[in-house]
Amino acid sequence: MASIDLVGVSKQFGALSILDDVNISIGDREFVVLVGPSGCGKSTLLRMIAGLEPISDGMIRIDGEVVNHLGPQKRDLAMVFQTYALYPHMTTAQNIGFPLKLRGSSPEQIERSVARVASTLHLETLLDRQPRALSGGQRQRVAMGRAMVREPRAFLFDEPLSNLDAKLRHHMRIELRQLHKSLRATSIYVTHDQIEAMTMADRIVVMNRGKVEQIGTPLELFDRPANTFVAGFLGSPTINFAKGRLSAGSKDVTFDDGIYPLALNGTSDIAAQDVIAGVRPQHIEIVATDVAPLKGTVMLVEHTGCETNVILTVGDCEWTVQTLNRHRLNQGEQVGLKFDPAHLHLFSASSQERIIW
Amino acid sequence: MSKARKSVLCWAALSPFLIVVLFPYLTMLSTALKQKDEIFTFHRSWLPREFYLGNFVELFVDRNFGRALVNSLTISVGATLLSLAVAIPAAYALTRMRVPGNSALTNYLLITQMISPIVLIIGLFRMFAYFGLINSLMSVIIAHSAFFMAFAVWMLKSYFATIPKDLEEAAWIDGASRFSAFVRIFLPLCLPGVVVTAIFTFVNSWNEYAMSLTLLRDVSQQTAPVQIAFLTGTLYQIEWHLIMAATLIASVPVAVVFASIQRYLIGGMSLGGVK
Repeated sequence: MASIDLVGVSKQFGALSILDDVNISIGDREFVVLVGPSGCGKSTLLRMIAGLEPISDGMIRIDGEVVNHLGPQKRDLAMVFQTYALYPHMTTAQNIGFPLKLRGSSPEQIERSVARVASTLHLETLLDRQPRALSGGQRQRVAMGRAMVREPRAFLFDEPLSNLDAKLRHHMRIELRQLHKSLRATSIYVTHDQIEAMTMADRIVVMNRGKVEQIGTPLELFDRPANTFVAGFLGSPTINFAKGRLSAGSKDVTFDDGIYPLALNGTSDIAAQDVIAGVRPQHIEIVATDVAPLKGTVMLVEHTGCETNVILTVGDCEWTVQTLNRHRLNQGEQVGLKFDPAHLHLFSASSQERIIW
Repeated sequence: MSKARKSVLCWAALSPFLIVVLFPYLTMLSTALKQKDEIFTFHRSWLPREFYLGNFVELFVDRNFGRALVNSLTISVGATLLSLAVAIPAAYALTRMRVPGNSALTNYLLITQMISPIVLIIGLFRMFAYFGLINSLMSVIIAHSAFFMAFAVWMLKSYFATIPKDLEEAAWIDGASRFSAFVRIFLPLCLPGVVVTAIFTFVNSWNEYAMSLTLLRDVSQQTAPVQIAFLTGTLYQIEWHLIMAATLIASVPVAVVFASIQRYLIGGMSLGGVK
């Protein structure tokens, strides 16, 4: 297994900059998830690590060795593609054994290794089938098997679960995580699905428009997002934002949209400034109007079975509150809202960066 | 509408075309099996008086049609192999690599298809004469490959573009060199496209007349279409019984080629590999 370092990695297509000065250090045996919206450059970055895409600037190191000019054949990485990329004219066994065949392993050796991988992935009964005769989940497992069979230095996953239905995706997520635990293999996993990122990663790299926005453990990112993008990207339903003004010494926030001022236990010496305040839907409570510092008007109530999402207007903003209580609320009803100021995230209105950690 | 009824209606709608296709073939067969005096009679019959194979014997023994067939076969196979040998790498490069002037080159190939070979035939003759290749089957193989290659590149290019790039990339990551991925992964998946292209090139080359006539001056070098044409031009009569026997035989290799490789035409080879 190996560590992977990206140092000042950039990618340009002509005048278009796809990736700009990306610096990520991935430790040995770590499971790192690259997450971001479509077109943020995460897949391009993965392809650059794999050697499928040349890099315009910077350095990629695997185990300290610079691999910028090594072809994908020589990097000893394995990749699972979004489309699985199984060889259609080969059976499951031939697909899994292909990397070993290329290395010139003996037929007996290949058979042994394929059998070992097939038993790990529960593919024993499917070894003679061609990809067209396999279901989505089975194809996914064959693709995994082909990656595992040669014990590479690291695994690269390019949105491997995005073609599966929700139930199977959840199942495969658990399987992949267990597999990582047993193999202890360095893994880089690309997804646009924040649930996958949150549940699978040791560390998450949030990317946007070719730049790294924040790197950290899932809970660090959820609890202390570095900017409005990360705050808005992670968490479902999306975090609620409101524009306001922070008083000197961060004593309180006055909101622009007719929301009541909010007292904070200001301890820092931060100057008065315009801010964007964010609070997660899960951190707001619906209470009686007379005891609440904030008030909202109910627009819509969504019952998902377990949780209830209440969409309200607070001042001029649209907020969502997620609660386990099955409130019986009517459209247009006024409710009180309460939350612990410790759960309030404050970002500079000009830079969008977090101002109180 | 039930499936059977739909199928009957489809066949009924297609039957006029079936006649168009079958009529010449049946005429050919019927005439080829008749004796010379049976062909022009007042009471025409589809069936010959007796099952007469003398026309074929005459064709092979007296007129040396077998040699013409061998010539045609040599040229067609040669031209097919040569044009595929060049067109496959060319089409691969045009679909998978950054080739400077890619679209200009592709359009240029298309333009060459708009020029009739007959326009260039004097130039071709002079060129092959300069290289001393007149009366050599090689000259026709080269000329045919050159003419049918543009079409082959176009056809292969459009087929190659349907093969997902992920498959080759997966092979590279698995440790295959570019060439090895091309041979082990890409080509097997392209087989239907290659086969269709091969058939087209073979049939085109088999039927080609003008270039073969011009470049092969010696009777012993004549191809089947040229020799058949010569049968119509004998001094005092047109020997329909021989012409029909010859055309019947000439159509056999094409039918055999189609029948023997039609299983490759069944697409869907790449089905299931991705998604």
